[in-house]
Amino acid sequence: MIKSLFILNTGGDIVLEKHWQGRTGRNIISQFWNELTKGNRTKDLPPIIRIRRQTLIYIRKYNLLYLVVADQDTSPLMFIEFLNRVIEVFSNFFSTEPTETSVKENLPKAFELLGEMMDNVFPVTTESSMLRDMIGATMKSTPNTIENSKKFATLSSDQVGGLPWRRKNIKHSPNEIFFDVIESINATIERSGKCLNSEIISKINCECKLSGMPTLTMVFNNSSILEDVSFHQCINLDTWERRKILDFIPPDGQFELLTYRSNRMQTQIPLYTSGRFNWSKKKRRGKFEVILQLRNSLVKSIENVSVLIPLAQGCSSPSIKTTNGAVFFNDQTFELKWEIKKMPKNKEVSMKGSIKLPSKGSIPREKPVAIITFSIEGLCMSGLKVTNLNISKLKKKIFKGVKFISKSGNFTLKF
Amino acid sequence: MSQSRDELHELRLKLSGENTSHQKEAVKQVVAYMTVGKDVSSLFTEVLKCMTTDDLEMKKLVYLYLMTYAKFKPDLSILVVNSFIQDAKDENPLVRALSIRTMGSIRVEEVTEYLCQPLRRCLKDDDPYVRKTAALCVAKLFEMDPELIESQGFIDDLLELITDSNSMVVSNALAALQEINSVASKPVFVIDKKNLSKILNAMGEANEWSQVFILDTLSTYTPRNEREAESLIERIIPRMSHKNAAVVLSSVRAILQFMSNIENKKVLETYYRKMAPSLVSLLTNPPEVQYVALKNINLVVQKYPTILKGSHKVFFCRYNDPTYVKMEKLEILIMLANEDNVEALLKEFKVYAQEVDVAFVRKAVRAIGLAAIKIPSATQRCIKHLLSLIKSQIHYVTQEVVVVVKDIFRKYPNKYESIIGTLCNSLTTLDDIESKSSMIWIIGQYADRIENSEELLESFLETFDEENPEVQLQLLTSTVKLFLHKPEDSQELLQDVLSTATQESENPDLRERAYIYWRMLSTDPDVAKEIILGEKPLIEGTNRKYHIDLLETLLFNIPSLSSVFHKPPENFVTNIKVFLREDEEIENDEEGILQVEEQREKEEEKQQEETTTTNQTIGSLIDFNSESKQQQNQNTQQQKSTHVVQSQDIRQNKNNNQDEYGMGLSQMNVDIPKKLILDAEKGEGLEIKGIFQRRENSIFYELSLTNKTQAPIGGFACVFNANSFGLKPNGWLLDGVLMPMQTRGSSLPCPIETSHIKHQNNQISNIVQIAIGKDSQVYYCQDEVPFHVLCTEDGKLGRSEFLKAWKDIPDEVESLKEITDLTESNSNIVKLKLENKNIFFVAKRKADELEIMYFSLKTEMAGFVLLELAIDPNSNSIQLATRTNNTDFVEMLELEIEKILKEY
Repeated sequence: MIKSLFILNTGGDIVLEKHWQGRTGRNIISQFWNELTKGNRTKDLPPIIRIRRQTLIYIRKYNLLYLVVADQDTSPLMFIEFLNRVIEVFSNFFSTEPTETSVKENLPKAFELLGEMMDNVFPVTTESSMLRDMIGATMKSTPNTIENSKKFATLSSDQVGGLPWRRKNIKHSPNEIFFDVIESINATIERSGKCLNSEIISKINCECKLSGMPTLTMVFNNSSILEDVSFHQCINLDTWERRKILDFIPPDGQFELLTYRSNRMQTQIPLYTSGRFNWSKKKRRGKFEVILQLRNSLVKSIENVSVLIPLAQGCSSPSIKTTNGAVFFNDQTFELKWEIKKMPKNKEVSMKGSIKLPSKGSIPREKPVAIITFSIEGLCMSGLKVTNLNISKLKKKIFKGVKFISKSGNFTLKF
Repeated sequence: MSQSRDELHELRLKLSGENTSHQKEAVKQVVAYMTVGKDVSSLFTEVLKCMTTDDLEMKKLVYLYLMTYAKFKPDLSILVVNSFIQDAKDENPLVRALSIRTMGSIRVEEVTEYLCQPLRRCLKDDDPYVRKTAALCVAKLFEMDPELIESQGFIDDLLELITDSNSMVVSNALAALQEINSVASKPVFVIDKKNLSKILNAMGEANEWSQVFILDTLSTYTPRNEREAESLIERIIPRMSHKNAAVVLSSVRAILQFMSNIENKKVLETYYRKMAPSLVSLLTNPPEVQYVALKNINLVVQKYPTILKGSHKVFFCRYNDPTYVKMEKLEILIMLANEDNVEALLKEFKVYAQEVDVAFVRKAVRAIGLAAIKIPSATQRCIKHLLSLIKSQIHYVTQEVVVVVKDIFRKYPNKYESIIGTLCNSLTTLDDIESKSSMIWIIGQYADRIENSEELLESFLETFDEENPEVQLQLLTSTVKLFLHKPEDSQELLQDVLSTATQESENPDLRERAYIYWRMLSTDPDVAKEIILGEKPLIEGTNRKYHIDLLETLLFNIPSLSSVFHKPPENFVTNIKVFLREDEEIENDEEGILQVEEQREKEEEKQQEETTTTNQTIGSLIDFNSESKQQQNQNTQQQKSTHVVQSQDIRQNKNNNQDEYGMGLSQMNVDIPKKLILDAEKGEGLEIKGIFQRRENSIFYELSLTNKTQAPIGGFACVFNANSFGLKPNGWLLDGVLMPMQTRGSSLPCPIETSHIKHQNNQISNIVQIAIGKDSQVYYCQDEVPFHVLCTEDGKLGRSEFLKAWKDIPDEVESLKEITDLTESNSNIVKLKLENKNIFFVAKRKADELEIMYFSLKTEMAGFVLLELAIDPNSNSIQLATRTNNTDFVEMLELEIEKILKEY
């Protein structure tokens, strides 16, 4: 069972602590920190560990570490998901990603939120849109008195009546709803340019500004693309199971409607990549070359392409030639970055050069990888299309739209 | 320092002022201080007054403050209770719910009683939000005081809420009941035919977290027939597409459970097909979720090996995966290896074997070996990969290859021998036990085919005496094999090994094995040859890592820690349930203990003697001559009896400390009266009171120093003479200057340092001799260390650990002591008193009139100490039995326990 939550900064100092059952001594935090930093393997400690008969579950995000302490057998995944939700809610309420500074600036609010989000060991209200009504943010706009009890009565019934994610009496003008289909391509490319493996991890983000309680139905051209799919809780899972259409009353504001995974691609990976990298023992230099080319006839252009090569510690003195774009070398992180503002069509671009290894020490055994990022608007790799979007229970004129973006996820070139 | 006092003063003014916006600001500031560990408990009364506010946001902050500090102000908590009761009647349902929720979290016993009435009302509140909050509150209180909750009939109220018209209330009531089930001695709630449909309906409407609770409750239900199981599964299947990974995993668990009630293969097949994509989808989450998912997928694949057929690519490691994810992925890849995908997998494994992380690389090499064993058609290719890895000349890779090759030989004897040559060339780099014994095994097994086998073995035998037993055993066996293969070249070698093993070794296993070989060889070498070089059973490549029983247990516990650590739940659960359920068993076990003990050898006694030798060579830090020491002894004893400090003084003192120096929260529990250790006369105007205390896993010497002169005193220092416990102050006695008539407190951390252990006059003593320095003057005094400060926080043993440890200590070592004339012998109070001092309750049983309780404690110098208290309630006396491996401190401990029990 969860006892306490600690938020730690990168130095292991406590930024916030919240206790649900008694107090957990700070002592365990220092023990955890020792464990975490032992042998300089900070990133290798599994997210669930046992220290002194207590279970510690932690996740990291934005340079903060969120840690819950539990003392009995418990469902770790539930708390990991809860922590992810805490981060999401904090981001929404602080209007910025939760960092040490923003958490400290918003401490009372953070406590209020945590108080509402978890009652004893039970996660309760974790939807930002519902929390907004419970927490001070909107209360400031209304008289801050308890006399206003009618409002609270509806607030409390919103919490328990009907939908956990949408309150009643929402009004918007104009009424609009937009969907962004964002497909991230994970791929591992061999030096020859051959694709070793690839998959698409996608999500549909939605921004909803609709009044009342609208029911939406969304129909896709090919529902089999959505075989590995995870839905937001607003989606009626039974309808999907039976009829393969989405039937939902959306939350208000921004939310992630669904995510899906597919390894069937309807169209070629838009960027051809190849290259080589060799450590020269004699010269103590790494010689490399990376070649990129646009190769999908559907794509007119790709902007903001970058290639990042994390190099061994101590590398220096790059000497590089490129056909297009610019190269930057960060001598703190030893990362080499090649940026191409605009990829030309029908033409190969390349970067060629070498980098110096430190004069002492062994030649690295493994070759680095190149991490490639890009983003293309209007392209849908999986071939998913929305054929019909119907909004009922709303008479007014509604603006609606669906936008497609394909971009790189974990897109790496193995030399 | 003074700045913080000013701040507190200012806050106090704002809090008690009339201006509400200032009040709110101040409360916010107080909460902010609280969270950074600053002590703002002195503002308790002022903050409490703000509770009557109409501002909900402010009220919440006040509640937050109260939750933190109510514990430390039990005397004021009655005031708090009144406000809570008022709020629980408020017309605003949010306030009613808030008050019930906070009361449940305060965890002060005095409050619990008063909570019953408002709680009962709120359980029947008109507003569902209040009802649902009250339901959860019942679970909270149950944990604190199960008897109270049961006697007040709250469980029945909860059961009634299952049929509530509001689904949120139903799901929260279910969650509460499930939580209570997990700590109660017997389940208070089971799903039956009647409530099943209600629960299923609630699941459809509940929020994601309630769905998890409902699914977990549902998993414990046994369907009446195959059809019901199928219809339940149909209801759950859609949940596997939920975005919340916890919902997905709980659904998987429930479906797996219900599937065991279904025989129809075709139906099962469709369920597998639906489950696979959900499991795979879990891997699109952040690495932490992936880790848990992978651990669970591992179990599912062990049970249903074909479930993820064709999905192997999902488990390929990415360059930026954390190592803990990579390791788990690799494990699953090995399980998924088959004829069709082995080519692709081998390619991956080879890449992994070239990465930097040693553990991961080794595992990758293992993976290649396992593929070779599992898939005969791929063995040749695997060996090719292994050979190329040896050429990399990286020692940990080579070592791992040796181990793997040994396994390949055990699966395919007399095949692929061509690899031996390459292996033999890389011998020099072996330094870990497993690879060394593997290599030695290979040499022995193929002694006839390795040209220089006797030379190779001889080089290993050179260091025979220094080797690990496992390697020694292997060397012995391989030498015998060598002899049987090439008797003429190795007779001498064998003679040497056999005589060393039988005459010089202290390891009975090694001795005995050597004797057996010797006898076999001298009786009938031909038979020996047939036995020793006979055909060996082949090893099998199997997917299943765990025994089927364990696997079933783990699968049943899928969303829990068990499924992550792959250990049965008993390893984590240390709650009451285990004790209560097994209370009776302890009596049976007792007899077992006796039997086992009678057969035991007494070797440990020897060990004990060895461990108690202490460092006598450390010189004194302070030059005491023995005369003054005795004098001091008397002095202090006198002081102890005469100068018992009034507790009122202390409270003043304490408040002073906190207000002025803003001590952190953790340092608050200083409420034991300090003893006078240096009076003003002897200290030339400096008076010091002190007490040893333990908190947060460390020992502190809590001191308060008073300057009774007319001039400031400074330059403080404090040293302890080496003592029986090795306590050594670490830090400043007092920073800065003590002004005339000023009293200041100080907390001196006193860690235990083994180098500082010295028994005065070779006797163990709890007296610590102290030298206090001020302005280059030194004063000597001494204090007694209460034994309990040495008891560490991790002294609680589980029931089974306790039993084992108890058995391991012979009866003779047990020390007995009778404690009589107790004012109170109620077992609960005994438990409370002892647990307060880090002496932890383990189990309890009844024997006729007596109540027998078991406790454990741990100290740094003596390890675990086990206690048995036989309480005779008629005569108010206790028979105390103590067992420990280090008996030196037992007498002191017994006295301490008597003191604790007789304390008011």
